[in-house]
Amino acid sequence: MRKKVSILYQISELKNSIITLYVIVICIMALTIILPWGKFDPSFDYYNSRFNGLEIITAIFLFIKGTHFFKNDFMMLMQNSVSRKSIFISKCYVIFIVGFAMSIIGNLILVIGNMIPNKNSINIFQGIYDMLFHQRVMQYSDFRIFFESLLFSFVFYLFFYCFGYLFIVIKNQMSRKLKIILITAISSFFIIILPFINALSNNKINDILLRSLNIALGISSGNSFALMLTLITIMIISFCIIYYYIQRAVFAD
Amino acid sequence: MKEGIIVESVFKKYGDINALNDINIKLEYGAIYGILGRNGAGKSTLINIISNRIFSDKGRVSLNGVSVRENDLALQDIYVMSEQKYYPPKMKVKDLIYWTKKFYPSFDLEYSKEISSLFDLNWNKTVESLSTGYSSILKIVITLSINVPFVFLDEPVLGLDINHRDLFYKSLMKRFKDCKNTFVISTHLIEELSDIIEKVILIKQGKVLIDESKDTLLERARKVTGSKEIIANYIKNEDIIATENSGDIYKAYLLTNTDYSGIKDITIEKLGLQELFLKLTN
Repeated sequence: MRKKVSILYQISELKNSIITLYVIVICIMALTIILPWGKFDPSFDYYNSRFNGLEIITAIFLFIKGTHFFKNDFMMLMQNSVSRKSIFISKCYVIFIVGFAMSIIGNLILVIGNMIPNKNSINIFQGIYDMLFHQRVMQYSDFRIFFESLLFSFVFYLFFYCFGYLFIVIKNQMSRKLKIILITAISSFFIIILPFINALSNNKINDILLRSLNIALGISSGNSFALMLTLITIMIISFCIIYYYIQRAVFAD
Repeated sequence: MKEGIIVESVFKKYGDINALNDINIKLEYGAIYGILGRNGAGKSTLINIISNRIFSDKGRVSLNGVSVRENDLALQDIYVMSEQKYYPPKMKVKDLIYWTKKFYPSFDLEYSKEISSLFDLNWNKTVESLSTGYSSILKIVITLSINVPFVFLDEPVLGLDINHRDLFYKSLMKRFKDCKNTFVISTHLIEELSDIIEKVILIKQGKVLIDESKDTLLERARKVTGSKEIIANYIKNEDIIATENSGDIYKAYLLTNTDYSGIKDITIEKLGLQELFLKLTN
């Protein structure tokens, strides 16, 4: 019962921001369609106007919302005596529900936007799936690509929302000592240790890392499922870390 | 069986400071408790541990035998009115009340409207736009309307003027009579609350000094005045809280069941709760 109310509360708090986001996006998209017809500024090339940042804007929005966790949600839920476990579970539900809803809305907006006649008679709204996996988009039917794109943007949004949540949990809950160790360890690894090992191995380490990254991100192979799997794996690890810290989070002055 | 809240052997340390040191108390159903103590005594720490907001280093807090730690079912019988405002700043009062009712289905909406109009609380205002006094009033309205067995109020009258404080005390007493919930009040305004509280828990430097009924405690609290030679003879086996010496006059503050009336050359006075608190905690 408390989990259900916690979910409803968190979604309700997001509602206005999400509506505002989509109003702004729709206005920008409307301008992208209208401006080439109007020729308001002769020096501006309206014919090549594109709008392809919808998923990025949404991802950034969700990342920021994730970082707001301790600002309001955690306090309100703890004030109403919701246990940390219920807070964590309800937040997971919220991330999934919001990510799913926004992926559907986002993709529908792109599809509808591209259906509206424009001056150039081309698809002026391009999704991130199309940008990253253009070859795959050309290979398969529109129907299949729509669903793959839907799935991809869903995972993409989940990842960024989760990442924002992870970021703020680590920032708030990790001890100062551990933060310093973590930052020092990561920096040392990339700036000193990795180049050193790479030099010793005649750049073989770099090659292995780049090839692994390529496979994990699936970009050169055009395999979106590889990237989705990578993001899902990172999310699972992130949720485990978040759960560990949330269970120890203190709610007091 | 309804045991109430039992705090068993609770310890809490912040660095080198023992915030709570082997606390053992029982909070029963249908009573008004006063948790008293100086700043930093451990009152808020105790309330936060009972309500699952922070964790004790050792010990257990249970409600009717079931641990409250991370237990949603047990926690929904407990509500804490904090000193701080933990509500979303941009939320309107009416929305806050709406959501509180969702979290606590036993929330009495009609009562909250009634008490809001008594305090003149505007439901269309946002939380952040309320003054310090009205922030306390908002918390009071919500707290008194939540109908749960255990309600903790940590400094409930912060920022309230005397009229609102008087209204709060009357509302609290009426609410207690109507619902018989247990109210646990942590406050520095001892004299004002002394007529309301039934049981006193006094915390000093993380330890429970007093845990008994207010009436029994005040029956035993005495100030004995006279010459040092006479008094010293009588009180040598007593529980002496404090002594004061000014010239020939010697005052001893005691917790005693002994009847000193009839003894010549000494004056016996009853102590009020505030004066007793001062002597116990100085």
